[in-house]
Amino acid sequence: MNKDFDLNTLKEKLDDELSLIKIVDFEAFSVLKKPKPKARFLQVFFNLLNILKYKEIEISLNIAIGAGATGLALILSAVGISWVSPSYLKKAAEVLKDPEQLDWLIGLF
Amino acid sequence: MENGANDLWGKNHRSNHDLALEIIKTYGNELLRTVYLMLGDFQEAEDIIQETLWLVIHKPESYRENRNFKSYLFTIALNLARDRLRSFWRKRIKLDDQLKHSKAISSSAEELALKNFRYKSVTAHVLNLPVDYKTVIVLHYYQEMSIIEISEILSWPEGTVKSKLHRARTQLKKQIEKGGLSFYE
Repeated sequence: MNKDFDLNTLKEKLDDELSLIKIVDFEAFSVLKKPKPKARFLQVFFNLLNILKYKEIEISLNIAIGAGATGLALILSAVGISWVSPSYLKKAAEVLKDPEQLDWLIGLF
Repeated sequence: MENGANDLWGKNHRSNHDLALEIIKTYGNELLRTVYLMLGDFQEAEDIIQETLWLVIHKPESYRENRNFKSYLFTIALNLARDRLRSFWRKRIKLDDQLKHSKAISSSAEELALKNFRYKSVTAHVLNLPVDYKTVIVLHYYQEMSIIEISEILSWPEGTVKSKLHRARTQLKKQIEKGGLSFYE
């Protein structure tokens, strides 16, 4: 492995490393809906958590934010209100089949 | 100027859907990789691509006919990515926190590889740069744009682009040498 970093070959190196980054489903992008930043879903659930905290209801922060925000994103996507990226939908579907991975959800936001 | 790119815009498409599909097939992967280099998050990059398409189709008045269509597309995407990087929520939830909580993400080899190069790769070094430095490095060295083109895209004077590029190279050099590698310009 070449341990030296050459600015002149930066593009080649980046192209090589980024070759995994590609669009699999072109059709999904031609649905012309504006995506909602996932941070907004998160904001809604932070507000919700504040209410829960005020009412002294104990809940795991990761699970509440992850499951809640993902659920909201999926619902909005399903009813056609918001565009949700295809890779996100795929991963969310995988996790919903395996609830033990719920902690994963927080990593997406 | 790429005539092919501008022809794509000028073509009569049956619908917005067809136009969007053609744009995404022509530029999608290049755009996605460029935005990924800015954000370091695949799904956020996908969101930016979709929002870029939405803006291109729904706000055609912002496109000037004598302008290079590809550069117009990248201007929108990069500005959206830069806005995203500066957003309050993005700053609050740092990348390291995301990685700490994402042990279970590795459901596929591709995801493992993606996580791996976040730390060890040239991509990681670029991602670690401040927003402005990252932007000029990506545009100049990855998109191979000239100082003049970058100046148009970012609406910065050429002198500003040059000085940011110089500082960006210096910072990249420091980061890389800190990691034990030699750096050649």
